[in-house]
Amino acid sequence: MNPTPTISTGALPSAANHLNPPSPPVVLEVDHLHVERGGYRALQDVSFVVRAGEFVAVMGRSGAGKTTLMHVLAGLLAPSAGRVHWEGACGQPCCRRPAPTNGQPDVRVAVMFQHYRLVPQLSALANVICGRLGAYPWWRTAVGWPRAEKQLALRWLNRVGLGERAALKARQLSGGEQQRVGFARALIQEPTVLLADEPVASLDAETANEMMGLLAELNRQSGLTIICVLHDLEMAERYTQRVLLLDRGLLLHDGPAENLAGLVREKLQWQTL
Amino acid sequence: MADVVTQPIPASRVASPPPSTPPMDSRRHRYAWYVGLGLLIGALYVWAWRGMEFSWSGLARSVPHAVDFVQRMVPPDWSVSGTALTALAETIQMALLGTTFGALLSLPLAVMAARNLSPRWLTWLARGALNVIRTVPSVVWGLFFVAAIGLGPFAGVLALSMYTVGYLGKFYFETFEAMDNAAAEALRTAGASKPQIFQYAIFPQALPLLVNYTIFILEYSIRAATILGVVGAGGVGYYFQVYLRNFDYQKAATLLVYLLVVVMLMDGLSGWIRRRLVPGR
Repeated sequence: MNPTPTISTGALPSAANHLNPPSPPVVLEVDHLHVERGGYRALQDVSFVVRAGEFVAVMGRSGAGKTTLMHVLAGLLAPSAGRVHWEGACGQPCCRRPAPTNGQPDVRVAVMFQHYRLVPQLSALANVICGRLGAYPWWRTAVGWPRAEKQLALRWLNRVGLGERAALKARQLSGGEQQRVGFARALIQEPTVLLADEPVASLDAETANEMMGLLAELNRQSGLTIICVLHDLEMAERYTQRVLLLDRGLLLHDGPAENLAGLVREKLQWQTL
Repeated sequence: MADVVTQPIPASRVASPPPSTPPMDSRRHRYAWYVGLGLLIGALYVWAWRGMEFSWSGLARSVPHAVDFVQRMVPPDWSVSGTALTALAETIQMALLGTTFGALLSLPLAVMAARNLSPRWLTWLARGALNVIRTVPSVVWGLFFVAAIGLGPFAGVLALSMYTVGYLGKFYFETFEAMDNAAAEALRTAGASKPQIFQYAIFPQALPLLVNYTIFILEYSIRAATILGVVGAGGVGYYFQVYLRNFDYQKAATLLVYLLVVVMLMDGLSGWIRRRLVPGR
C-alpha cells in the first residue's frame, strides 16, 4: 500500500543518515512519489534528493512526466502518494519565507513555467515586478510599487536583454521574449532554488545558450540550486551536473550528466529526446 | 560540485502505457446523455410553444390595427423637440449614473461570488443576493424607489443601479471564473496573496470583458430608463406615457425618433470604445 501523500517542511532527520559531513545540505527530498491524473499514472515511485548548489536536468520524451514532476515540486499539484520534502521554514515555494535561523539551509523556490504564464495585459516590467509580490503585504502593492523594485526589475530585464522593451505589453512580445521575461520574473525573487520547466524551449540557439550560461553563472557564483527540464542533450551535458531521466512516469536514471546520447540510446532505445 | 545520489531502479519496473481511447461503455453513456439532453430541450420548446397560445389567424387580424397605430404617428410633431431633448438628457443622465453606481457595487459582489476568488460559503451568499436583485424587474425597482424617496430622476438612478448590479454582478463573476488561471498560479508560486493575485493577474485579464459588459448595460440602461419614466422616475418615459394617454401619437413619435438617434449614437460610441479597449476586435 502506498504511503500517505505529503508535502512537508522542517527538519529532515532521515536525510542526515546518508549524507557525508562535507556534502552540501539536502534541500529537496522526493520519496516514493506517485501521481495519478485521470486514471493515468503520470509518475510512479519516483525518489531522489537534491543538494544545495546542484544543477539538475530533468529529461525524457514528451509525456514522460517531467512537467508533472515540476508541478508537484512547485506545490501546484498534490501527489497521489509519497512525499515531497522541501527543507526550510515554509511549505509553499515563495520568497516571503523568513531565512531559517536553526542551521537549516535557506530555501526559497522560484518557478519558471513552460508556457511563461505572464499576464498578457501587463507590461514586461510589471510582469517582472510581479515576481516580488510575495515580499510585500497586499496593501503595500495595492496602489503602486516602491521605486527600488522598478529599478531592480529593469536591471533584470537588461540582464536578459529586454531593457528596451520594458514598457511593451507581454502580449506584444514574441514567444522567446516572453520566455526571457519569465526568466527575469523568476530570478528577481532572489531564489535559492529555481524550478525551470523547459526554460529555453522558445529561444533561438544563441539566446538559449546565453540564458543557460546565465543560469550556470548564477549556479556557480551564487550557489543557486537549479532543477531544469531540458530536451537538448548537448546543452544538458554542457551546463548541468546531473540528469534525472524519466520515461512514462518512471525514473530510469539518476546520475552524472555525461555521455547522455549513449544513456538515452541504452535506456529509451531512442536516438534523441 | 555536489554529490550525486543515485537511486537503484528495479529492473522489474515496467511503465504502464496511458489508456488510448475511452472505454465503449463510457462512449455509450455519453451518447445516451446527449440524446436525453436533446429530448429534454425539445420538450421545453413544445411546452413553451403551447403556453404562448400562438395563432396565425390572430396574427393576421392584428395587422390592420398595427398599421393604423403607425399611421397615427406620422408625421412626427416637431413642436415638442425642446421638451423631448430636455427629457432625453435627463434619461441619459439617469442611465449614466445608474450604470456607474451599479458597476461600482457589482465589482465587490462579483469578487465575493467568484469561486476562484472567495470561499464557498461567501459565493453562495453573494450569488443569492445577486439572484434576488436580478429577479426584481427594473419597473418594480422604479416603483419601489418612487414610493421610498418620491417622484423624480433620483429614484430612477437608484432603480437602474439595482438593476445593473443584478446583471453586471453575474457577468463580472462569470468573467473572473473564466479567466486563464495560469498567470494566477505563477504569481501564487511567487508568494502573492489572493488580493494581489486578483489585482495583478485576474483583473487585468478580465478588464476588457468587464468594460464590454458595462458598455452593453449602459446601452440597455438608456432603454430601461425610458420605461422607468412611465412609473414616475423621470426622463423621457414620463412624457411618452402622457402623450400616449392623450392620444398625441405624433408627439410620441417625435420622442421615439430622438430616442432612436441617441441609441444609434450610443451604439457607435460603444463600438469605438470596445475597439480601443478590447484587443482582437
